[in-house]
Amino acid sequence: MSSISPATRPTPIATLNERGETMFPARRGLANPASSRNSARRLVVGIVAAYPSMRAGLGALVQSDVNLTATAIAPAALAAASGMPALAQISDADVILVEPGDLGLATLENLVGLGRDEDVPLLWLGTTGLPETARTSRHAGGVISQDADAETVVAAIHAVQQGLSVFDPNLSQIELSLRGPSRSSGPLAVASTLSPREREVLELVAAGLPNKAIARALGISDHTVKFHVSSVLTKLDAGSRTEAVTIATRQGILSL
Amino acid sequence: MTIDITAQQIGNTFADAVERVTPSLVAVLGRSRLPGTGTIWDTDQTGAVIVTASHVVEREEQIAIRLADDAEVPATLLGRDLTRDLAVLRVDATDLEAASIASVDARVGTLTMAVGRPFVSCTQASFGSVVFIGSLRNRNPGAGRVIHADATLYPGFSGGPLIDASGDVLGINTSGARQVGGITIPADQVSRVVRDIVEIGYVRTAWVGITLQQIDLPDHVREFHPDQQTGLIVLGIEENTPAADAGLFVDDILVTMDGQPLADVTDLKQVLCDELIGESLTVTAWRGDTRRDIVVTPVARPEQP
Repeated sequence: MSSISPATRPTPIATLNERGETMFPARRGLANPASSRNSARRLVVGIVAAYPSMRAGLGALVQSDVNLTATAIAPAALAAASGMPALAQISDADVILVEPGDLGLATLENLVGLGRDEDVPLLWLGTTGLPETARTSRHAGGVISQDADAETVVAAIHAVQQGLSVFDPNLSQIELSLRGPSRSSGPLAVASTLSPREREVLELVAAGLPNKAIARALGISDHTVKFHVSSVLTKLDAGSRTEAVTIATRQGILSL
Repeated sequence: MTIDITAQQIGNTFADAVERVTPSLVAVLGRSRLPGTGTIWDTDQTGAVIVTASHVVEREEQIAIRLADDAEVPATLLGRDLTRDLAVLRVDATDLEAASIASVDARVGTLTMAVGRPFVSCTQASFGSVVFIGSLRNRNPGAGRVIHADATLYPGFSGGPLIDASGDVLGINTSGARQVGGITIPADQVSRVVRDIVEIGYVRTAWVGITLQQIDLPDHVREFHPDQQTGLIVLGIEENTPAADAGLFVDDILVTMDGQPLADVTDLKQVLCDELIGESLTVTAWRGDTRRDIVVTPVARPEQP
């Protein structure tokens, strides 16, 4: 995967078949299966995006890896009213790459359902319009940035095909909300409102240090520590230091 | 077997035991409400180390203790163990008498008294026996074990000792863990907490370097763990930590560690007591549809800044 470089990237020519689906030519050089260890079946990546030009672009990007074959899936083929002609395409695919922008919610929800039913992992490019069902489904897949480069997309495709979950750390908010139902409310809301200094103070409170010792450790005044502690208690809605630490641990703010 | 002890003898034995521990009890003035009890754990030439319950010490400053002779002495908060609800204080008063710590562990059935002295005037005591010894939530023996005795903890008893028939301290009582009522932190754990706080300023804890959240177990996992509704999903793994070395991944769902169910994040906190630093623990984790037993070896939480 890491061997991809712009110089060797093929320039596939996308064509439309008689059904209006975009087809991508097979990669040159793979016609002879004995020529490489890649003689194993290439992975089929279904590409769902709102516009043909996007599908073509993503197809090209995917096929920059010799082990991947792209097949475009028109959004109209995912509409329930049309009897979802894309079903066969989806069940044939190893991974579905979705650019959710400008696709209708119903289309995306159908896609999530199909992916789950057919056990095909979905890899989302960006989070625009990501349906709630995608967030709560615990089925394999991932979310990477819309701006991800070819190498990242290809790596992510291989990973989700192996049953792994892939998340772009820059999309950590989605990462958390994708992790299925959780009892505690709004971990991120809290985590993101604690300032870095408040987090430091919270770590030391968790270690059982008195305010004076925290002040010494951080090189700030007792008064400032008191201020930070009371701010942390307010933000975490905690009545005591113990409660603040318990809440923060339960919300994944403090590590164990 | 003939047991030839009169009720009076038993009564006298326990009354003597209370008298014996009394010089080591103080009232702790650390909150606006009723004071709590403190137990003098250790003494040296310049002062004494006193153990109490953390929830009794609401203030960080202007903490004082009241001695048997009604003298009030200012105390410094050295540190807390929030997990065990303990706080360690130091007073610069000499001629204090440390309590005698029991040399054997409490056993189920051991006759005990919970002793407190929130008021100066008199020591109070209640009688009971050790009902079980186990972890806070699961009542399982092993890690994070605490003593549950049915001696009533009256108001202000938190921070006082649970003693045996000879007046030796079996542990420190606290009503702080609200979900289970009063509990007793065993004396060996208290001694380690005191040692760590006095020597390094905080309590050493076993640490694996993950952040977690409780999650309802998916149906396919529930099938294998019918007694458990919830598990812990890995939200984050810090680099170069035992969790990373063990091959845990973000999104893994942890169901048990070292045989203890992990239904709540605090369960893991209790499993990871300091005794387990360097021990190999098996974690049952689910990754997608696959169950994995992963061995993780906790380290001491990296030194605080």
